[in-house]
Amino acid sequence: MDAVFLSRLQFALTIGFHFLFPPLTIGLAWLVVYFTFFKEEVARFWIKILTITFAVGVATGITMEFQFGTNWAAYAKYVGDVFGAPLAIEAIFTFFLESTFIAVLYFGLDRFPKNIVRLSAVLVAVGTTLSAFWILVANSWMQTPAGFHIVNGRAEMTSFLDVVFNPSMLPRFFHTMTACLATGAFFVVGTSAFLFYKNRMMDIARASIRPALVLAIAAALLQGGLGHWHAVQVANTQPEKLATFEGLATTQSNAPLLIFGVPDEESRSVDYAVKIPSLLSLLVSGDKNKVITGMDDFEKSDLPPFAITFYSFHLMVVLGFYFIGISLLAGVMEFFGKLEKSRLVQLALILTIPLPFITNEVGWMAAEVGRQPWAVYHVLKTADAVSMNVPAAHILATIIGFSLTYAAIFCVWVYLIWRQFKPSGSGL
Amino acid sequence: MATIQTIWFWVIILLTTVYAILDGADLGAGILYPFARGDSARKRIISSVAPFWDASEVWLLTAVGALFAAFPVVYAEIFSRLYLPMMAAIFALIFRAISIEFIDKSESPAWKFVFGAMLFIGSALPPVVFGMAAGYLLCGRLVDTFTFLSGALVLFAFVLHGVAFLKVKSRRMFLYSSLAIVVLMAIFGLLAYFKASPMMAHLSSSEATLKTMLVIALIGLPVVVGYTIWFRKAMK
Repeated sequence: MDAVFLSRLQFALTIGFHFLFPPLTIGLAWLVVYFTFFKEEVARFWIKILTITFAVGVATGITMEFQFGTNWAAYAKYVGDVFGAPLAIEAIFTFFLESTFIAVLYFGLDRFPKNIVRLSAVLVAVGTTLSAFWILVANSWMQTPAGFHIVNGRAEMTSFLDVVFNPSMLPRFFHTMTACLATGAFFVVGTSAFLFYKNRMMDIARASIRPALVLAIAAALLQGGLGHWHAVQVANTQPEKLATFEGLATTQSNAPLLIFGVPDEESRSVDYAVKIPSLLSLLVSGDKNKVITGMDDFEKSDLPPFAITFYSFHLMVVLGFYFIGISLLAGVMEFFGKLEKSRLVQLALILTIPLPFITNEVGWMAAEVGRQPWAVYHVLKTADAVSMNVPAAHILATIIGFSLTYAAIFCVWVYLIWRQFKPSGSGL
Repeated sequence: MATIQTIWFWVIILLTTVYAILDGADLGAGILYPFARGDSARKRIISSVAPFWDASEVWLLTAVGALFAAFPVVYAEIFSRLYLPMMAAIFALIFRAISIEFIDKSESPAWKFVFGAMLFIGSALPPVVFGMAAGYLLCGRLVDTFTFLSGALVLFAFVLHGVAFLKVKSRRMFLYSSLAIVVLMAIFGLLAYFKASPMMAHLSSSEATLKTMLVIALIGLPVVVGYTIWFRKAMK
């Protein structure tokens, strides 16, 4: 195993694990804002869960900032002039904000006046959202770099605004933010359904489920439009990624939309395909005769891996539609006052809790694996981005370390969250 | 170095100094945890650190982010050459974060033991690594008496600082140990400046980036300092 592969594996592992927590934190943070204003009796309960989750996000987030230097030194040198700035802004404007005010929220709940607590909740939510904004600026710039030129073998910023508002920034931000809100909302809906199911802490469940359900429905519906917007942008800015997402083997007009299929990595074709004629052309451009570039128009070495990109993209889409269905179903049940009694729907909502996390992960995989073989699209290859001076054995050792540590942290997190929902209501 | 580069060099030193003062206290307290006798003494250590360690650590993240943004080559070289020590620091900081947040969530002795051990290791390792990294930057060798001494010195400084921090009644002692840290950082900053400045002039980001970042820092940091002071006072 070479250092490039191992560094990619380590990055995927550390950021994949980290990315479980911030979406939940962001979604919960906005719900906590609502609770501190309108449902104070449940605010304390959700603040506890928010704090536990936030802590894990912080603990695993440190890794990310160091890793660009430890494992991706060539990348850091090449793009530091552009990429470092959003990262530093994230630290100055958001990390301080969220870390200070989550402490105010948690430790100051009984100490500070109500309005300070409310303000802190707002600042935590704004902080986590801005944090997502700046890291997505950096990420979007890797997908659709803009506002720079190459001088002396490295990227130099020419326009800060063009760097920030690069072509994929806004669709990616709103798409990801909505996913975060959905993650928090389905978590609160699912755990409240669990409390209904167990006939436990009913007052908390009753007060929490409605606002969360409204947010879940809104986010799920909105995501349909936002996901579409993002996909159109990918079609315009990264055609090889779109072709891989959609399994479009050859360039064609009236390109069909694939509903189901089994990708073949070698031949870059899809077996057992079920297609809707012309729909892809129509969705991407509004014109069903539009020519869409297929994978055959690119050098094979310039294309991302097929199967993993294809599957992760399609799983994300399928789950997206599922969220619309389940949230609407639960919403209708709740509207008619039947949700508290319907054990079947409650069970479905409980089983839905992990699905937004999975959707976030596969969505992220589709985006990042779909960017390969580039670290910075059409600027810097991933293979040229790693640290040249770190032995593979050292990376392997830290991968093992991260796997064990993160597995343990995950178990502790699940245990602590689980305990909040136990009959005794836990202590701390 | 050009003026703007010099400014960024000292801004990074300043950010690191604030980190050392604020988180040095938290890390020092974490090192002292196993030596505190009795449940209530230990609980007091956790409760004096718990509201603050996270915001303290952000000064480190900001310093590292600033180094990345202002001197990408320096950041890349230091972090990749010191791969294993830096990774050890990451694991330690993860341990520290998790143990402070979770140690008092259960009263079981096994739980306390595991997280207590994690807190100790997680607090003792970062100062050693950061001290050694500073020594390495000055002398260029990782396995060297000077580097080890420098690691030991920072560890020692943080332990003393932690003692001062935990003595709530003695503000003055905390002030002195903070001053000691400022002096250490100033010495390090001057040595590093004279050693590295001819080299670093070629290793910085472009002037446009450095200026943009300076504007951002000048807007952002006063606000941060403002609410940090408010919060620390309010929690007293």
